[in-house]
Amino acid sequence: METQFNKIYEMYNQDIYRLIYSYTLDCAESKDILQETFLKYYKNINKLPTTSEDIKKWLIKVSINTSKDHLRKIIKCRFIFDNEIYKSMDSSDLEVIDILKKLNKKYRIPIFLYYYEGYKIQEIATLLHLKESAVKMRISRARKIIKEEMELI
Amino acid sequence: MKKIQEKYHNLMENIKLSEGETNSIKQNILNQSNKHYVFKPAFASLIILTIIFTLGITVNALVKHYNIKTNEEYKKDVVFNGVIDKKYDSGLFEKNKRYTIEELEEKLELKILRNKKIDNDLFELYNLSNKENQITKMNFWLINKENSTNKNDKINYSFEINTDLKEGSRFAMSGDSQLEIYKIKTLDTEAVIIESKNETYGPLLANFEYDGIIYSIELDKIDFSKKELYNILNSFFIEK
Repeated sequence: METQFNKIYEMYNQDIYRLIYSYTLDCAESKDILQETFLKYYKNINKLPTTSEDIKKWLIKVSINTSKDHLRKIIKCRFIFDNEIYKSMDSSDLEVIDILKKLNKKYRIPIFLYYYEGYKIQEIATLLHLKESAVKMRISRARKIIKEEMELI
Repeated sequence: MKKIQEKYHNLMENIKLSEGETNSIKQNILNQSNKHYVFKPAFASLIILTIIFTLGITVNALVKHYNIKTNEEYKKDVVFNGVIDKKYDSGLFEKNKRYTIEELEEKLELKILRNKKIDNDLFELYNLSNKENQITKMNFWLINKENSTNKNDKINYSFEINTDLKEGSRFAMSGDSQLEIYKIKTLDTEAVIIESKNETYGPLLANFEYDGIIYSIELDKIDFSKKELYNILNSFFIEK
């Protein structure tokens, strides 16, 4: 069981961490959520899909739900940056973070899955329990907001 | 947009855990999972009992406070038409402000249900709609305690108040969810449960209306069983 866990953890911990970060924009919170997500995976390892792609989808769903759960508890996302990561970011990264902060949380995951992970609208709809039209609308609204914010910079 | 896509991609490439952080998180997971592993037989028994209990529940689809409609994509939507026949000035509440249950009852001049499983009583107004200086819709959610080890602090509890019939509450079912009607004995009302078809994870939502207010309990199947949801629903009561 531990070998299987190690394999999946090594394969996906960075991807899932990025996904969580794209939602929380908080490194410390993202690490806690990542740990909780993979703990859930370990505890359910025998009941879950066996293909690595399906496991990744399972991890995405669970990490999104866990992130929402965490943020409901703290309500306000603190936007605290881990010093090391903050130092390594250039002005372009900080500019994008500023824009993402202005984006409603419900838009952040669809944007990440679409533009970074390259999932199709239909796949995102299944992962997020949304209709395809709702996913399209969220991505389109997010793009509009990002475009407007970019024009202000 | 291409420029921002590129910048976004670059930012995400920079978001990564160091080798030390990766190993430390993995070690924490392995330590914690070994601690929990002792309880696995008891947990398995609980799952079996839950399945037996679930099979024993009679599904009784009496339409009372809600309608179940088939939408344009041939999936089901559950619509609650609960409405409060009162007028509230738009300045009565402030979005994102927190209120105790007693403050809410005083301002709303309404009784709000209590729950024996939930001992905190602070709510945040996270959604507010106005029309012609009157409030038409309000959504409050419970502020869960931070860093709590009590499982019940994972219960996401919210309620919605509408003063305009146009502002009904719609809960859309996705293709991989299923619906169940459950009678809450303590309140003599029916809850509509929408849950993921997946046995181990996914949302477990229960919505019901009581005295015009629409209450919602949102859990994740990975943390709570259906039996636990029934227990939470049956723990609602009216404070005298």
